[in-house]
Amino acid sequence: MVYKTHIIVIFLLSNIIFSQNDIALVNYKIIKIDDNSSGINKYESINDSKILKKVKEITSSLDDVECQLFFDNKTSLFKTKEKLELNDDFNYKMAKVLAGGIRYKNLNTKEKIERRNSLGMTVNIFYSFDEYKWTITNETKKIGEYICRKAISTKTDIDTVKNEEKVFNVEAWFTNEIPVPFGPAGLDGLPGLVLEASPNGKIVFYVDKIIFNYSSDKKLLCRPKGGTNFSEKEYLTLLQKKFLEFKK
Amino acid sequence: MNWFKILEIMKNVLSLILFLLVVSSVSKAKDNVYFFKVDEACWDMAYHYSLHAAEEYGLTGAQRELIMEEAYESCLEW
Repeated sequence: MVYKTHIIVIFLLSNIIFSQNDIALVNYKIIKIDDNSSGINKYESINDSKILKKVKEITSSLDDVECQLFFDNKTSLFKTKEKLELNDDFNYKMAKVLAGGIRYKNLNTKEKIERRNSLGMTVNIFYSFDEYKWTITNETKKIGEYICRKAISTKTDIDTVKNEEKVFNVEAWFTNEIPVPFGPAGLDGLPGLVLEASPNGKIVFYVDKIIFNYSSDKKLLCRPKGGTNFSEKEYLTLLQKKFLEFKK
Repeated sequence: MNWFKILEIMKNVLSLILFLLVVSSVSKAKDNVYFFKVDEACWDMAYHYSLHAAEEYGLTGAQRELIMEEAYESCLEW
């Protein structure tokens, strides 16, 4: 009888311990893929080398940008880590834009939301839950201690300058060993955690560290509150309209 | 004699007021021209900066717009 009671107590305790810290944290960093491009190609009218030099300075600040993905078994939240001491640094601000806004994903409600400050307001952009139609390849590689598989996809966006569609080639390396469909900057929806991904072949998000049982604070996975809601299409239409107004 | 003096003083005062009005309007016009130039220059800089950034880092339309907004605001502060 005493033996049985001990087993029940141990079982209950282990449940409590696991449920206490069920939120994991993945830290991602960003690097620029060196493509050796001059930067002056598509836009022939641009020949200001000083501006180009200034743009290239963003690369050195990418190292300061730390991205965090919090997740449990149903929800994830991706955001850049606050670094108050760098908030006034111009290149850092620009580098942060590359990481995107706060990304929230909920498997129960099938929601995928990006929250950002844009057009002078706080906007919530609602993406299709299956934002990426992935093709999983047979290519594998080891990232840290995990065997990862490569998946590819495309993403159509609007070039607001030329007012035409632009297609990005997307690549992600995910591991089945951590079977959650989450990843950095909305690069998710695969049968395992994304440890490395490029949204465009120009920059790469790569995993820096993973901490399981990081926290039990459910506030880390809060759905964005307030702000103006847009579908992805509505938001892009609004951006185009704004750009056309500016051109006038 | 007194009348002559009063007229003389009034003439001087009027001249001074006229002078001040001219100086003030010229200064205001200068301010406006300066502001316009800075505003235009910043838009131009921010626009080209965002185009380069879009090319260099593969930005989406939304990201390019954010970069342009940030660059414009930073330029105004410089």
